[in-house]
Amino acid sequence: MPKSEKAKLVGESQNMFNNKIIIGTVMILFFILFSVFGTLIGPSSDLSQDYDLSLKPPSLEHPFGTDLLGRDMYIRAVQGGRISLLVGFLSIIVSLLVGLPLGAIAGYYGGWIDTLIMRSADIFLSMPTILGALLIMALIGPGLINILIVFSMLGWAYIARLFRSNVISIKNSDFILSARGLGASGPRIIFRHIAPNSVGPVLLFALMNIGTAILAESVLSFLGVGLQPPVVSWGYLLSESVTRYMVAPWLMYFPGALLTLTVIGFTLIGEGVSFVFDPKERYE
Amino acid sequence: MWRYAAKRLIETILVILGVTFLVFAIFHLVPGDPITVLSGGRTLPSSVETNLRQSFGLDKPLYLQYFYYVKNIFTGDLGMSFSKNRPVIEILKETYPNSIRLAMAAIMIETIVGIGVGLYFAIRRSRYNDAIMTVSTSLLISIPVFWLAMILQQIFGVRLKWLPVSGMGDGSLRYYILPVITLSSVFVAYVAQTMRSNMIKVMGEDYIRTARASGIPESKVIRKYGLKNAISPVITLIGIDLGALMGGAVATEVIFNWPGIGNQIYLAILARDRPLVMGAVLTLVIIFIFINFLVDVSYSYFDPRIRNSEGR
Repeated sequence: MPKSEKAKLVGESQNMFNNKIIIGTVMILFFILFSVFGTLIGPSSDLSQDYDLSLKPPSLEHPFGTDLLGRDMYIRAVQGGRISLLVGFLSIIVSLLVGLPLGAIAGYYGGWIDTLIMRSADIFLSMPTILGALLIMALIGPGLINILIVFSMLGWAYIARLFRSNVISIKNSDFILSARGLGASGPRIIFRHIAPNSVGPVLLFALMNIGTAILAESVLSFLGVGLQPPVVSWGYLLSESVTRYMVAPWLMYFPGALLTLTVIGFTLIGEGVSFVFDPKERYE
Repeated sequence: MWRYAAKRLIETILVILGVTFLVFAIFHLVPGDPITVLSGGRTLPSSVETNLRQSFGLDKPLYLQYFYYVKNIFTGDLGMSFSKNRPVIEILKETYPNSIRLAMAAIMIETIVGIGVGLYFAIRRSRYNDAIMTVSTSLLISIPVFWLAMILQQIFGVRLKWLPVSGMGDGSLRYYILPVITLSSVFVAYVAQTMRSNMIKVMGEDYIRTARASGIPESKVIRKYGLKNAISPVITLIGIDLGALMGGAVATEVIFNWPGIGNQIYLAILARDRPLVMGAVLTLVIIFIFINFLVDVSYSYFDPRIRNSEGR
């Protein structure tokens, strides 16, 4: 293909990748707003049980249909969204709270403490996410707090490894040396000088993983080791539909579609961001 | 080569020991005495309790208990299943083959379809095709597999009545189709993505230009010089996936009621059969780690750069 045409193609796909970030962000914002304010705009707003309305297909009054107990599935889907998104964001925040300090300590101090932290990170990194989570959840039992514990156990290692390498690459720069020369303590150097200059990519990486966390929670809840009622997520609604979706498919259509679209939003942001950050990809 | 393999083997063994230690530690940190759990909270006569403690080795110090625990795992003694009253290892032996069959079929499909699709979209590039590729791969990567499975069942089983939606029946091909599509969906997307971007990179290399300039037909350039150089990272990806498939199979097997290890884990969770859950998941994790080791070593055999860069 002629050079000008090729250049055009690259330029266009670059646009497409920027579009990915924008589309992804808009999608995520939409679903956050939906989960927060969705109950206000629905036709009905209560979750009362009504056996006359058991398993009714979608209608104007109940846009997502009703479940076995006659509860409005739209309201339940909004509530499920709150928990799904909450689990996604919280599990990443907890992973960051554990992973960043450990990565900083390993990278800054080095030596035996570095070996200790990074070898334990290897154990967690070598475990497949779903199986590892299944293993630990089966031991400690279901529940929202336990999910967060497990996800941060499995998630901190990635963050620590990434942050450690950033810290190492920056810790011998002149401005760190001069801070040390002025007598700044280790923690002060890490917090005031190293972190602000190296934490950005790590945060971005963590953000990209929110989708994965939401997806993993849905699998765990689906398998019965995730959330416990009355705390429901989209994944939990799907697991609830398992015995009935053959005859009442709307029970799974709506929560599943919401879940998929939300994760797509995060996937798009992730792909767009990695494209911007990786020049090799850009000049393919 | 051997040095690298030995180094990776030691690392792998340490990681597996680490995983068992983690499980053991959590088991002892979680509140609840095993004997109390076993007796269902009733008070046992003290002689019975002492006997039980001795038979489970619970009277020994913790480090000895850990030692026996690891020894048992590697001698295949995973305890007794509460719900079936049979050794866990026997149940695993019955269910593993079905899971491996499913995983093999999925690997085959994702290799053929993934490489084919990736290659096609690498060669036939246009704005339109690039967009199709992006949308379809993002969709496949983001969709929860069990939801995809439910939709496939709804369409091909309930509405069209073309394919069975449950079990493996007589083991004929019809029963494999929907589970295999479900299981391979995510990795078809990954393989296609990797194949496409590698191929695009390779086709921009100087040696491709030289090959074209010397008048070699385009189809031969693609096959002999492009594909050959672009495919090796894809092969690694497929190797790694073999392990991931075993894990991803859990949800798929549950939805399709496939008599494999994943479905067994689900049933054991429902029955609160802890030894069976632990045995099944732990063996899966160990297999996953071990397959990763094999992939690393075989890859280093094909690509010397890996072992040299690691062998600092």
